[in-house]
Amino acid sequence: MNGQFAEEEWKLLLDLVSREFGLVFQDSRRRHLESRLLPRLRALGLESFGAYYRYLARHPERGAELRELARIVTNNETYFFREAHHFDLLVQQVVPQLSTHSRPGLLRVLSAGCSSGDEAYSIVIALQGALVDRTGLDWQIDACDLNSARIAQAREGLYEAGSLRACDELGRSAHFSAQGDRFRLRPEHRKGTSFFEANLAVAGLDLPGAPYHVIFCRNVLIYFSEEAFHRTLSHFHRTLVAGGYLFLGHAESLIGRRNDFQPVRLCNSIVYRKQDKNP
Amino acid sequence: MKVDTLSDAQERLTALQAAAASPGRDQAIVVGLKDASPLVRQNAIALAARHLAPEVLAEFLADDEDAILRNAAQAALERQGPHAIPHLLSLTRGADPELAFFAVQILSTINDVSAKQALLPLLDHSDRNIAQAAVEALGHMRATEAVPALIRLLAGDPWLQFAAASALGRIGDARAVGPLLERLDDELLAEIVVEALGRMGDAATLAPLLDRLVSSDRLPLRDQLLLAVAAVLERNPGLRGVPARARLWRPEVRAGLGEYLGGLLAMHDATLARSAGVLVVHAELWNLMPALLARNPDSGEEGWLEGMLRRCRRRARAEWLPLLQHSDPRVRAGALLQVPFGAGAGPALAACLQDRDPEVRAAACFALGRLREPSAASALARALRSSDAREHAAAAQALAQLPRQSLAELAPDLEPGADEEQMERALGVLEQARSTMHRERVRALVQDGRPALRQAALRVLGRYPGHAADGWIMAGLRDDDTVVRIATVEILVRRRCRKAIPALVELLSAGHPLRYHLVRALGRLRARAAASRLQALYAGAPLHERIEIVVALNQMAPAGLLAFLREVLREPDVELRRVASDGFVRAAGAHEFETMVALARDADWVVRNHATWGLGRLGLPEAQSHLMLLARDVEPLVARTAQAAMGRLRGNSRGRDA
Ligand SMILES: C[S@@+](CC[C@H](N)C(=O)[O-])C[C@H]1O[C@@H](n2cnc3c(N)ncnc32)[C@H](O)[C@@H]1O
Repeated sequence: MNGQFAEEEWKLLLDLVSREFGLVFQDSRRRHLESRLLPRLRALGLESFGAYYRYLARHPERGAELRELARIVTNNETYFFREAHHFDLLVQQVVPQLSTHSRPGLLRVLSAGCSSGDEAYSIVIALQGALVDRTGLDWQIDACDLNSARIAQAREGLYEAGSLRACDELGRSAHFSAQGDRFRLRPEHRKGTSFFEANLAVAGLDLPGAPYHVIFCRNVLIYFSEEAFHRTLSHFHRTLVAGGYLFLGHAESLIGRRNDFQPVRLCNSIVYRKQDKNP
Repeated sequence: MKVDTLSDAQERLTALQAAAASPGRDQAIVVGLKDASPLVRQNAIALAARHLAPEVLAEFLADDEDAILRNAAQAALERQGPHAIPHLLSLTRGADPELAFFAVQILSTINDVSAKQALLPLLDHSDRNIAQAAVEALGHMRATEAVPALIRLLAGDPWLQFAAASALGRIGDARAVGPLLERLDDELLAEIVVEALGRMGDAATLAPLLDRLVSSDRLPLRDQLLLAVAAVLERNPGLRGVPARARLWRPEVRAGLGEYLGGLLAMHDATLARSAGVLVVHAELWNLMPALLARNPDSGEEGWLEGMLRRCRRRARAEWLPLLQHSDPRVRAGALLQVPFGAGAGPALAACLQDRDPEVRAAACFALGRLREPSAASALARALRSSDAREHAAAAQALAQLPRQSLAELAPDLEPGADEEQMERALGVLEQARSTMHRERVRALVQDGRPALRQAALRVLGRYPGHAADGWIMAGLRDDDTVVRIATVEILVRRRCRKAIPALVELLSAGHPLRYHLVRALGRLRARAAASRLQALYAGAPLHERIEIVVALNQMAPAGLLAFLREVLREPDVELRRVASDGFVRAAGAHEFETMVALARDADWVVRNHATWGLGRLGLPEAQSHLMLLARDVEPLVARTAQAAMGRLRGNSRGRDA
């Protein structure tokens, strides 16, 4: 395929990205995306996006290339204590409620689309800051992402200054140690965390730590197709305990889109609680 | 199945898709058009465009009760395109003003030439909503035939003035400049008129727009004026000498503008900031240059500022040195990358190679590359050894731009004892520069024990002119390392080295992963002599190779290709059928019309798209009715291909008539 079918090749590629990862792209991003994909074409010795599409569709090594592709097409922007009020809500409102209702003993949280782990570690720091461990409550924070490079970075726990943009001087020195011009998370904040690669958009997703009391999935669903959005929320519904909480990013909402989660206003923020499907 | 809860959108979609092939199809589509989930609705719209008659869809336009259904019907009619036009035109002439209004809007989106003339009389419709919709539609369709009538409306009913000004701006016909300028001081119309003039970008409007920009303090209007002035300046690069620009030199003007533009450069709004940048450069407000350089250009916009600054080269050169001393590294890097400098800039640039910021050092490398100054070679060779990736990549690019002899500086990097990574970088420079220097060393490295170096050396040889190096390169086909062999295949194809074809064919007996690359290489070299060998391999090859064999055969176009492709089209794998249909529609003649029509009904949209294109290529009048149907295919891309094919057919028939 060539010339006349450039649009077709591009659509095939975008459809594949959407089918595999649930991600959709605006047309205006095309040039940018093309320039990011070109090095992959070069590395594989392929001359066109059509050839690249066929590689991704049928080549025996497509699995490895899909992982490369995932690194390219995901936006991994994140930082510690992004939308900081969510972490306050978690320790001040959600955890006390959960421990009176169900006395979990072990609080199980999922950070879905965790990127380099900033969100998962922020949860740990918040729980530790509120001395939650002294109440006898322990936690397990599972954190997953599609992008293998980001998961590796999360495990490494080494961050650029930009990741700490919402931390004041005190927070910086309390939770990190400087390493050259980067920052290493202090080991005690890794407590209870576990990072793994997972694709939220696939059918039949298996999450090791389920059921969860709380799921954070912030600034992920905005990039998803309608189909992937629904599929992911069905996973969340399945893997949350009854009455469990879902935290979304400020630009994301379930209102009018899902009635199996109930919006709840907690201190001027909206979070969602699992409702049984057919009450 | 319980299908009324929101979370079951996926189930409802599956049900709709199943119903699309059943007798209750049309009813199911209408239900889908009303669905609360956009996912289901989008699919229903595509099916409606394909299966429901325009008359049926138009009924829903009148439905005041159900806005969702009305919008969905509108979207479906838009997707029907030419198929819906006759009925929509009849609605514009009908008794129901609301339907007429919607019909005009839809015609506007369909944007087919055939509707323009029919919309003209509606400009004087007694219902002002309809008249306005017609004004907007004709503007959207850039209907120059509407210009005189629109100019008339500009002076008429206030209700229509806005729409007329905006439409004239879109159409961009010079006849409208004078009448629009006359309305420039009309309080109510000013903003829209300014926007229209900015869109048109006519040189004659610079002076009046600039006068008002300087004197205006009404905010949204002033921003609008800025956008328009910048648009006119950008559209007319030759305006440097016109008297209007002289206004920019009055001190009071500069003071007033300076403050306003400085504020905009500090803002996030990229469009306003860019327009402010245009003024900064044209008015040569150098005190604002750091603010302009410190802005990160959006990707794809990098060359814009550089291009503008080149137009005031003399002044830019004079102001350049202090910018290199600026405390903000973004300004220093920006000055190196964007501001034109003179031939004597070498020492200043070389000094920047010592900057403490790696971004600035990389920018200095790029700048030295542009200067093509041989004396920079040794400093750049040092930068090539930097541990900072940005810096050594920039140095490599710069070195490749220097005059040939400068690359003698790379000798130490290529010496036998040099560090492997260093050697690779140096070879990378030779490759980029298409240089034949250090020839003996490069040849020796083709036989080095380290595969990465062998590959890098082969790439250098790959850029040698003529065919003298072909033999050396072809030796790479026998390399022990598969990665090197694959790279060699690619190098040979890039050189269009047909001499290598027999060797490539011989290697076909090798297995995975080399064979995949060989097949593709033979196709790209259009090695028709290899066609029968590829056909023989087809049956026993794994799927991904079979797909590439078909692609390669399509490129070679050997005798008997159509018969082969016909077989492949019977395969179950969709990717195989896709590449087969691609080759088929390119090679097929008029006698394959029926097969093409059958492919145009295929369940797979890619196959349909190919067939649609093929029908246009054949250009037979009997394709018209098929294309009409394809023009409202559920897949918008197929619909677009069909519309283009219909245009081609129309062109053919006009040609025949003439
Ligand atoms: C913008 S980041 C958000 C990170 C973090 N949750 C936050 O709010 O700061 C989005 C992340 O979602 C991940 N992502 C995108 N598609 C995904 C998928 N299908 N499965 C899992 N993760 C995905 C991306 O790799 C990226 O790291």
